Amino acid sequence: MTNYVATATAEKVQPDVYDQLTATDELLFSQVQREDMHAFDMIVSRYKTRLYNCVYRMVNNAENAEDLVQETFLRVYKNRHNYQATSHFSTWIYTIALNLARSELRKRKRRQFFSLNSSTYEDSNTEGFDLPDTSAGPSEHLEHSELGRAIQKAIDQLPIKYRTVIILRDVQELSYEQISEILACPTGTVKSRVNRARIRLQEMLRQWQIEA
Amino acid sequence: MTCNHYEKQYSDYLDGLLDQESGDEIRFHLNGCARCQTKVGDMERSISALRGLPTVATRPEFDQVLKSRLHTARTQALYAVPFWVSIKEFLSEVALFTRHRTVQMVFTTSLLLTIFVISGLSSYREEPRSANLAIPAFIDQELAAWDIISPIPYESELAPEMAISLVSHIVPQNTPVAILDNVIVKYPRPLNNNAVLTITTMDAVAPDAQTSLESPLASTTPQQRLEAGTSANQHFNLNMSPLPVVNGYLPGGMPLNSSRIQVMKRLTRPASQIKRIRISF
Repeated sequence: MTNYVATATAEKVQPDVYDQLTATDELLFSQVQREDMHAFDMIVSRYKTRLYNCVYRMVNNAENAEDLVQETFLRVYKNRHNYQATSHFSTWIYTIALNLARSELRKRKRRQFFSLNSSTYEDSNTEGFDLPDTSAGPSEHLEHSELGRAIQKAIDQLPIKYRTVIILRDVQELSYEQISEILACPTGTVKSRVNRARIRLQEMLRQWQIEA
Repeated sequence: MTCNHYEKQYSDYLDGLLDQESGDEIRFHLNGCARCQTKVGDMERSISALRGLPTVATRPEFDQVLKSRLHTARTQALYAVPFWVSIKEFLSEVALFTRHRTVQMVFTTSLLLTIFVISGLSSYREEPRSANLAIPAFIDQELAAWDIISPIPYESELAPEMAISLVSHIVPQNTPVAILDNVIVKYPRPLNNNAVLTITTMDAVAPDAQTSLESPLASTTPQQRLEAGTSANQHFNLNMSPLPVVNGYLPGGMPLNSSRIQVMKRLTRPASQIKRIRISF
C-alpha cells in the first residue's frame, strides 16, 4: 500500500525533478520525504564524495570516514521528516557529518588518554609522550605525494575547531557564509578561526620544508 | 601599525575580501616588510596546497553497504512498535497478572506494611527525659515548703500521692546556654492557698572559669505564682535561660568572641541540672 502511494506521488511531480543538473537539493529531498528512494540515491551520489573528502580529512582514516559518511546518510534518511526547508540542505547534511566526525575524534582522544594511562612506565619513558599513530593503513595509499602526507599530518595536529574551518574553507572551498551556517557561529568568528588555522598550518608546513 | 595588526588580515587579503583601502594598506606594508612578505607567501602556498589536495574516492562497495544499512533501518522502522502501544501492552499484562489471588495478597500486605512503617516513622518523637522527684511524705503541705533536692533517691522514697514530676526540656548538646522550659509540675491535689513555684538551677560554671567569665551561667530562680484551686497538673514555660547572649556581649560588658563561646560550650552541662524545686505558701 505504501509503495503504491509512493509511486503514485512520484509520477505526479514535475518531470525535471530527477535531472541531475537542474534539480536543487531541497527539491530532491522533498521527494525523499515522500518516500522516493530514487531521489535519495541521487542525494547520495551528489554528496558522498564531498562528505567523504571532508570527513576523511577530519579523521584521517579511510574506513572510519566511510563509516561516518554512511552513518550521516542513515541519519539524514531517518530524520527526513525533521528537515525544514528554511535552511539549505547542504548546511544540514554537513552539520550532521561534522558532528559525527567531531564526536569520533573526541572518542579517539579519550581512548588515547586511557591507553597512555595504562601503558607501563618503561614504555612511556622511552619516547616521551608520543601518541600512538591512529591513522590506519588504508590512508597511506590515498596520499601519493610527500606534500599531501605532510599537509594531512599538519591538519591532524590542529585543534578540532581550526581543523574544521580549514577543511571547510580550503579543502571544500565553501564560502564563509556557508561555514558560519554549518557551524552556527558568526562569520567574523569563522574568519578569525580560518586566519589562525592558516597561520598555524603555514608554520607547520614551513617546518616540514626546512626538515625536508 | 605593527606586523601583528596586519597578520590578522592576511587571510582576508588572500581571499580578496578586503576593501580597496585596507588592501592598499596591506600591500604598502608588505612592500616594506620582508618578514610579512614571506609569511603571506607561505600562507598563499599552503592554501593552494590544500586546494590542490587530491580528491579521495570512496570504495566501490560503498553504495552497496549503504543500501543494505538503509534497508535494515527501513525494515526496523516498519516493524517498530510505537511506544504508547508497548505501554498499553505492558499495562494490560500487569492487569492480567494482578488477577491472581496470591499477587493481590502480597500487594495488599506490602502496601499495609509500607503505610505502617511510614506512619510509624512520621509519628516518632524523641521522648523527653524525665525525672520523677518525690516529696518526702512527712512534710506537711500546710506547714512547710516542698523542698526537693535533685537528684534524690528514687522509688523507695516516693510517695505517689505527693509526687512532683518534672519533665525537663531536652536541650541540644553543646549549646552555650541551658534553656529550661516546658517544666511539668504535678502535685497531688488542688492547692488550698496561693503558692509560688521556684526552680533553682545548678551553677554550671566550673571554678577555673570563674576568673575569666563572670559566672555567666549562675543560677537564676524564676518564679511562678500558683493560684489556689488550680488543677494538679500544671504546665509551665519557665524560660530559664540565664544568659541572654545579645549583640555579642556577655553580661558585664565582656565582648563575646569565638574562643569564649568555646569555653562556655565546654562548661555547659545538660539542662536537667535542677538544683531545687520549691513550692512555698
